[in-house]
Order: sequence, then C-alpha cells, then structure tokens
Amino acid sequence: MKHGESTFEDFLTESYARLRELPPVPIDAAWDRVISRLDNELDSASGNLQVWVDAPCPTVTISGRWPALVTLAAVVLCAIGVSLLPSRFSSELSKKGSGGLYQASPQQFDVASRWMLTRQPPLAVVESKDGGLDRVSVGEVLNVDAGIEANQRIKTHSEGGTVLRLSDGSKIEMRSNSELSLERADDGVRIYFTRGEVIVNAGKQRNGHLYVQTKDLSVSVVGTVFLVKAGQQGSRVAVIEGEVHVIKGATTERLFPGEQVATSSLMPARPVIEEVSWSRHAKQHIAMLQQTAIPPVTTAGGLLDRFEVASIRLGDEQRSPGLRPGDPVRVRPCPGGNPFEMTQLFQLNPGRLVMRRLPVYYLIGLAYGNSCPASGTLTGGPEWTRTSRYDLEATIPAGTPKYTKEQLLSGNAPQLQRMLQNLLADRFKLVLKREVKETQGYDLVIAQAGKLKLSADQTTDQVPVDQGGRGAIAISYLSAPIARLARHLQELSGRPVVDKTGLSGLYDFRLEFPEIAYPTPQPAGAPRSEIQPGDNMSWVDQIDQKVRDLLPRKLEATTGLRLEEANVPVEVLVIVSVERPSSN
Amino acid sequence: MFDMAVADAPDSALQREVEQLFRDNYQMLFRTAYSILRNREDAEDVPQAIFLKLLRTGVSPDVGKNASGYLYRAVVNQSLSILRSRKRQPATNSAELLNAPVHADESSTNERRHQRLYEAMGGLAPEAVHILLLRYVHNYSDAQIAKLLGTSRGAVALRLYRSRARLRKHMQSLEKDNETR
Repeated sequence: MKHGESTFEDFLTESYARLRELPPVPIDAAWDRVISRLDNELDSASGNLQVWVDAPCPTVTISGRWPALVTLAAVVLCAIGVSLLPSRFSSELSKKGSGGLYQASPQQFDVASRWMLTRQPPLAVVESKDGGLDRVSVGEVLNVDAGIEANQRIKTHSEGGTVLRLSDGSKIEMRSNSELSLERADDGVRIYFTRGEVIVNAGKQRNGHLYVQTKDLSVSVVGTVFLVKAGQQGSRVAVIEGEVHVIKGATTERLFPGEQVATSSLMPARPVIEEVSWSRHAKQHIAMLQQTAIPPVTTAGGLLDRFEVASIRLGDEQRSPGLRPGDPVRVRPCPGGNPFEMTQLFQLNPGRLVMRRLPVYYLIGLAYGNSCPASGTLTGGPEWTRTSRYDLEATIPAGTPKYTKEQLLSGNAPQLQRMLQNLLADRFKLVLKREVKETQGYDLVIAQAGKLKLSADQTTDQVPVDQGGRGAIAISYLSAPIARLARHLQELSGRPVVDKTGLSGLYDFRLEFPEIAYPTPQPAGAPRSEIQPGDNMSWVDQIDQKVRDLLPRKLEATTGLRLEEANVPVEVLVIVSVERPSSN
Repeated sequence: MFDMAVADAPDSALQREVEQLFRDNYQMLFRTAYSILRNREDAEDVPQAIFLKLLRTGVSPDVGKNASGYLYRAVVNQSLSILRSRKRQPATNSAELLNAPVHADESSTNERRHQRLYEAMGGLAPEAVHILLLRYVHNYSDAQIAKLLGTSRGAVALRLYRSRARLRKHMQSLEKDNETR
C-alpha cells in the first residue's frame, strides 16, 4: 500500500472512530414506534371504510359467477367515484377552472391520485411555503397543494416556514427548521411535533379534538390559537386566543391568552407577543393578545384561582439590609439586586408562598411572567408602586401543581401566577393593559463562530453563579442554554435582549471581571480602594455599572457572541389603575 | 360482490419474524444511517420505515436468504437518497451543525476534513458506500463483508481499494472547489 493510501486509511479509521463509540439506542422503544406507526395506519384504513364508503377506485377482488360484468361495474363505479371525490378535494381540483380534474395542477393531481391509490385521504395539504419543505423518510420535496398523509415526517428548511391546512380547516404555521408528522387519533388528528416552532390555528372541532404531542407534553384543543416550541431541552406552549389544556405527565393545566408553560427551565419564557414575532400573521396574533382582558381569569366552573389565605401588609423597612428608617427606597435594576434571588426575602414551598419587603412593581412583574421587568416593559402607576415595600404571606390550596421557585421566576407557573394576578386585582384593585411597542434593546448574535463549547452534560441546566467571592467578580455558566444567557444579559443591561443566535444546545463558559473588586475592609491608613460602601452611589450599584460597561467586550472575547443595538418589539404592561391595599 | 381490500394486520408469525430481524439488526442499521445522515431522528426513522414496509408486505423468500444484507443495503440506499435531497437545500442548518458533538481538542482544519468526508461519501455510488461503511464504521473484516454482501473475499478487497480511491479523489475535488470559491 502506498504511503498516501495508508495515511488516508488512518484518516478514515480515525474519522469514523467517533461513530463506533455511539451508545446503543433503546431497541424496545424503537420497536414500539414501528408498531405504533403500523397501528395508526391500520386504524386509519379501517376508519376510512366507514367514512369513505363511496371511495372511488377501490382495490377490488372479484368473486361470483359473472367476472366480466363485475369488472365492468367496477370500471363504471370508478368513473363515478372520481366525480364523488370528497368535497375538499373536488373543490381543490376545480378551483382553477371549470374543467375539474383536467384543470388541476400536477400537485393537486398527486393529492387525488395518492388518495385513490392508498384509499386514505391525506390529513393535510401544503397551503403555502416560504422555503423548502421535505417529506423526510423518502427525501421528497413537497410543493404547494401536495398532500401529507399519516405518519409522514415533514421538515421545513432553514430559509423559511410553511403553512399546512388540515381537513377541518385548522392551519399549522411551521417556522423554519421545524419538523412534525400527523397521525390519526381516536377522535381527531394528532400533530406529533419533534422540533422547532409551530403556531396552530385550530378550527372549531365538531366532534373531536386536535392534539399536539411533543416528547414531553400533550396539548388538546377544540378551537383556539396557540404556539408550541419543541427542542432537545423540552417543550413550551403559549396561548394566543382561546383556552388550551396542557398535559404534562399526570398533571393537566389550563392556559389562557398570554399564558405559557414549559416542561423545562432550559426554555425561559419570553412574552407571548415576542414569541409570535416570526409568524407571517404576527400582527393579527398581537392584536388578539392586546384585545385580551388581563385579570381576572377564571378556571373550570367559573371559579377564580385564589390563594387559600393571603396576607398583605407594608413591610418593615427597619429590617431591610443597609437601610435606615427614613431612607428613600428605590427600585434598582435587577443585576445583583433581583429581590427574588435573596432566599430570606422569597420562599416558595408546596403549600406556602412568602415574599418580604417587595415593591408592587416586582410583584406585578412576577404575576405576569417577568420577574425582572426590563426598562420600559412595565410602565405607569404611581411612584409608591416602586418605592413602598410589602410583605406577602399566602397559603397555596391543596391540589395546585407543585411549582419550583425557578419555574415561578421564569414565568412557568401559570396557576400560581393567576393566583397572584387575582390577588393584585382584589387587594390592589390593579387594572392592566397590554401593548406592544418598539424599544431600544439588543439582538444577541454570533460574531465569531466556534468560541462556545458545548457542555459535556446536555441534560441539566445550572443557574449562573457569581463565583467571584471576595476580591473578584466572575459569572460561571454550566450546561446553560443561550436563552438563559440572554435573560441574564437583559437583567444586567436593563434592556430587552432578543436571542438571534439560533443555538439550541447547552454550553459552559465563564465571564470574568478581574478589573472589578469587591470592597474589602482596609487596615487603617491603607490606600482607599476604588469602590467603597458609603459612597453616594451604593457599592452594589457601582459594581453593576462597571459590569454593564465591561460586559459587551467580555462577552465577545469569551463566547464569540455580540450584543448589537436594535429596536426590538416588546410586550409592555401598562398599569391603568392601582390602589394602596387596606390592611387585613 | 365486492370485497374491499382493507390493509390487514400482519399475522403474528410475520410480526414475530420481523421483530426478531429488528432486534438482530437495528443497532447496526441505526449506526449505518447515522454515519450517513448525522442526525439522530432521521437515522432512527430510516430503518423503522424499512421494517414498517416489511410488516406491510411480508418478508419475501429472496429477502429471507440474506435478510441482514438486504436491510443494510436498503438503509444505505435510503439514507443516501435523503442526503442527496438535503443537498438541494440552499442553506445548511447551522444550528444543527453547531450542536453536533465536537471534541474540544479538535482543530478546525480537522473538523473541515471530517465535514468534507461526510459530503464526499454522499457523492459516491451506493456500492462503494456499502463497503466503506462496513469496514470503517462497523470494523468488519473482509470475510465478514463478503458474507454480508454475498460476494467473495477477493472481490471485497478489490472493491474496497477502488472505493477508497474514489472517495479520496472526490474529497480532493471538493477541497479544490472550496478553495476556488
């Protein structure tokens, strides 16, 4: 063997070595999937016979004594059958002219011929598309009007989305890089959604349901508009109009417009108005959300989600660290000062929620899914909503889903949030309205690819930790999604940050600020350090300011990501009216 | 007078036979599809679709003689067909590539070469891919390859040499194309 050949063989051996190390795949689950796909096909075939009893051109087997007559009858029936194509297909076929079948496009003919050959009507047709769309298993490119049958996985490409229309009139808008298949359920259609984002505009279901299934949750609807996101880390559902039931394991949650829920903290919430911005119908969706009356929302039977017992009173400011009686209290930006990160001020146990010395401003943010409102995203209301601090102690009724603190902070605790919303409406007489406005913020983009390294652990997320301790500041991200970094950057900068990196894995990185030192007690006569407690601006604020100044440069050098100034659409909650609560 | 031909459930003997084939071959077939497609979901889908077809149509006697060889060839051919349809896409899904496992110590040059290998493999004839994957992904000996593909050891050695040469040439031409861009 020649030297070059030997080197090339070494390269091949080495190159494929990684594949030889692939862990085995769970074989039972894979076989179950094959059987499930087969069952779905059989179900749909037998269900088909009842519904499509006049199906044209059935496969026929001839029995009896008069085969020639029977054959002739079959041909006649087949010809009649073409004219009896189900209305949605015959209307599709005749839409472009009076000639019906002969005027149909090749794609429309494909829909009809597939239907006749398989005796199964496609579950959906491609209504429109902005980019490529593939039938994955066979690598076939789908065009407008192509039919999509049960159990066929389809995928949009990176350059644009597509809209599918189901037979009941429901529409599925798929974002770019999204993947799904359709299956027949016992009482409707199931969208098995594996990756990306979709907005489902569910038509009124006469007898059944439309289901959306991801790997870790199921959504059932009877007529509504909602968004579903699915990725490696989990799934998120957000409601634009109507009501949605979300089943996660053994629990079912009801969601209303503007509300959302995720299966993992790796998918931090963004306001629904921002989540739908990619849709070609974003304006209509936003208009629907703006029409929504905010509080109070009712649950089954018209009952309100309420705390069992709730006490609200003015907080004891004497106990506030670093405050003297009479000191003005002001709302600081969240960095280092997000009040919910201080355990002595915020406790959430399965039956109890305690928050101390908290301005109503933050309480509103928490109730509406934004625990640290970026500048300008919660406006209006008198000054006391930002300066007067309240203590809240509430008993959570039995049967409420057990939310974690992280879920509540990231806007993923819908029932608990509704209890807070109703408490604010009852005790503070709070009235809010929702608006969308463009504000100065940042797009988080990739400036230099390849600097970020995927974490070895792609399963768990850890909250960013300020690991600087005394003498230095450093924030470590371990197995963190980029969405978490974006949220943290939003807290640090006080401006909305939109993640436009398209990165979906978990990453390890560390932002270090050796230039900034925590103030440490200095011996008498020692030179005064730059930041000292007791300066006009508090030392915590001074550190925050320095972090903000250094952040863009540190971020790009460490991660290759850049914050670019941009006007971004944000959801703004406007306080229309609010009153001081009476003591209870 | 008409009996509508409804798709029947496979009989239990057929289902047992196909399940046994599935259990014997699925790991190898998944790895094969993954080595071509580099996407876990697609790699799971390809062999599953082939077994689904077997459940629908039954295992013909020709298939039964060398079922592993038939399944392996079917998976390679189907995966190549998907890979080629992907090439018609105007843009690459960068997010997916970024999420592919990358060893921290790998240089970008090496990574580019691996990427070129992946592209070049998609441009080879299926017969060349059959033999190359068996040797380098599955680490099969000449004798094992000959048994699976139903040929002689001598033919395997010759085809392996030619396939490797074609792959190398194809990679070089891709590199040249890239340099001239």
